Amino acid sequence: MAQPSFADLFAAQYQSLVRLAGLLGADDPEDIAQEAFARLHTRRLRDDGAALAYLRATVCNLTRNRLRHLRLVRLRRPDPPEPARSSEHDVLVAEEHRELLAAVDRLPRRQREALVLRYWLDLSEREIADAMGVSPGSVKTHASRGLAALGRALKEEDA
Amino acid sequence: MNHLEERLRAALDARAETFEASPHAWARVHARRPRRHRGRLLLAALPVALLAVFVPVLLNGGLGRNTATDPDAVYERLMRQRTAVGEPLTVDDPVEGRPLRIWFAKARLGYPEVCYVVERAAGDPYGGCSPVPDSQDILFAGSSLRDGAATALDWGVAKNDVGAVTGLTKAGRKLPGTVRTPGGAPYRIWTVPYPADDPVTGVEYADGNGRRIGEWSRDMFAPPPGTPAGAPMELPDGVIARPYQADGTVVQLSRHGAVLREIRPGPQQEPVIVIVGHNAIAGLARQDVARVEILFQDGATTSLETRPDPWGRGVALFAGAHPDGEPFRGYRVAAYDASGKEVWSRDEPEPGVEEGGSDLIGQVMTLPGTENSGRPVRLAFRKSPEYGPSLCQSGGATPDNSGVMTCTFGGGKGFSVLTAKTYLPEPGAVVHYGPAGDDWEWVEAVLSDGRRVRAEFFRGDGAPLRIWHVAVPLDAEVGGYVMKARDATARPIPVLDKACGRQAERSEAERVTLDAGVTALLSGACMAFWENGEVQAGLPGPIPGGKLSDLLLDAGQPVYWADTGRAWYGYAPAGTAKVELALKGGATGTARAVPDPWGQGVTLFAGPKPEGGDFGAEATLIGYGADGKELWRFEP
Repeated sequence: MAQPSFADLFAAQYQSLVRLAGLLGADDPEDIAQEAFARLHTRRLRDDGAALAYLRATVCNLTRNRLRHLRLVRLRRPDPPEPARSSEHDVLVAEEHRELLAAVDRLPRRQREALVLRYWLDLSEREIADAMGVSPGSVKTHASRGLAALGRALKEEDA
Repeated sequence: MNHLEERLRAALDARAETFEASPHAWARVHARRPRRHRGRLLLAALPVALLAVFVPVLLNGGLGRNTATDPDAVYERLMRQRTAVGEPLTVDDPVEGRPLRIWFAKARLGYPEVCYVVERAAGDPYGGCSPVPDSQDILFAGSSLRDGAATALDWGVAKNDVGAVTGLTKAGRKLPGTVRTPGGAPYRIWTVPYPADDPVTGVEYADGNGRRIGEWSRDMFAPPPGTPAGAPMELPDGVIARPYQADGTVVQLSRHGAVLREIRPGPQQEPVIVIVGHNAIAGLARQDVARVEILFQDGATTSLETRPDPWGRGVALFAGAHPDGEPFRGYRVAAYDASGKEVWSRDEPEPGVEEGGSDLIGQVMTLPGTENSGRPVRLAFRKSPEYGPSLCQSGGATPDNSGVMTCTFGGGKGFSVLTAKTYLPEPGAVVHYGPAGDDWEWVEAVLSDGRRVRAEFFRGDGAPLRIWHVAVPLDAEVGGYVMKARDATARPIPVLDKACGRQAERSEAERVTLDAGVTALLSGACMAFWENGEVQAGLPGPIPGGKLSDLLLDAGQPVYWADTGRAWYGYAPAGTAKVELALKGGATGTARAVPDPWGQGVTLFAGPKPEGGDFGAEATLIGYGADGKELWRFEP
């Protein structure tokens, strides 16, 4: 069976990668996803699975470095919270999720990555490790710490 | 899965739904190819986020219905609101055995386009015009490839310094192409003929001396959607519809080789799916729809008869001309059955910053410098309870963003930039602008030759913030900004471009070798890094006329750095011999620093990532001199 073309991969995965970048806190998720595809276009990967893993890892890496740069670029004043999301979110994300998502936003970056990749993309530990550039053991640690932090945050909110 | 995990999954699903993909995404990925010209780096908007997209989908190549059989009539209709630039070129179309006419034009709003008229051996002629992006060396613009043809011709636009084009075929062959410049034309035209049973999958292009510049895939022009699941169906004005099997059935609409859109018919779809583009209208309708009518806000109307699909999929198809080629107006689409009864309708409002305007703050403004562009940029502040006022823009005279609303966050607390390109009145300009804090005294755009252009400020009625704006010539490159706030020193703002590393890859200059398999190269306004030969996230380069060390003058910003798969890297003040990294959680790392070879007054460093280090958390970096003394400390 022929390998899916770049265009097939784009059609199948672009929206998902925009959402991944958004969930990781990117200020411009589309920009991140487009850049990931542009980088993929110049590469030859062994198969479609490798291409998708490459795209996910690139989105994680670009988002992480992008957020670090944004902090640096801003004046040394109180930063606007990250991620800078659109006001549409206020309307579209149901009230019931807001508290939990606010806690997700406060997680350390790696814990947030691990939880998003695991609970939104349903990736295996191996796949998450590839995307994050860490060992599977680290994935387990980040995910469990992230969940524990979320649990604590929600209890504090309820208290 | 426990309750918390279930909640988390549901919350992430809900939030994910709010991140939508732009219909222009494919074209924008297409435009992100490496460039050969140093310093011609894309201007990255800083904290800019897409708020919403209220734009009809564009057609790639379209044009419209032609009731005349005379190709001259098609040409005249195309040029009704355009101005020809240079002479037309005529090439042999091997499929039709008739001439294919190609020429350049300026659109009504002044941006460059390439136009064509196809003469048919059996059928009405048709034609179209497509924007020519200024960021590409090579553009696929058309193809005569058809089912049953023995030979075909792909053609497109090349920048003037492209001297040769070679077609790359599916079987791995290289087929010579031809590059010609019509008299007085601003760009070149390339053509590659090929046998239809071994189609071109991309082109390789070289400069006038035969030196290879790069290659570009045809996938961006005509993505193959899957396995054909039926014969092509010809619709009016050269539009071809064909079903493919790709996780179900998808119907692809194309025109002169360019894919207009792929539509997946299904029970959930609306009775009519319509694509309204620059010049053409096409789409799918429910089987009982006999006619589709598009009524534009200014009164222009087009009425298109549907035809049942020949593949037994239970849909009808339609295509026809856009009445005047204005793609970004609002319209009403209505569907009628065979008796003439309206069975469905939908209003598609004109995109704009007023959209859903309950959260507007103050008046809607026009961006100075765009008033006479033919489609001014409209600005408005919108409330964002969590992040302060957001400056939003819509409109504009470029084909790629004039329907999209984008917003910048930060409420004047940070420096953010939006841009608007105008082509009219000639010679055109690029307006750079953004929200300004109340204590900002001045902002300057720094051109690539070091000249500075000072911005002006204005505040709309009821607006929470001022707006800074500065116009630079259309062909000028802005390499950074300088901003002065009250009681503070002027601060350089580098242009930060995530794509700069890819663009720097074309440079033949020698890269600096650092530890951990990292290499570095300063290329224009980009400080590019590679890990084991693979490009990584770049860091800001110097403001034109300045040095990298200027960016480190602020005591609170002694280092720029990034991390990648196995390494962390960056640049720091001169004299730094070693950089130590301490991550939250206890992991530490060390990187050796070396002086930069470009006289930028900095040192470059790279080191291996420590095992188990959490680079997503805050990190502390400390720089040491050769004598082991601490020189600087960075604790964000």
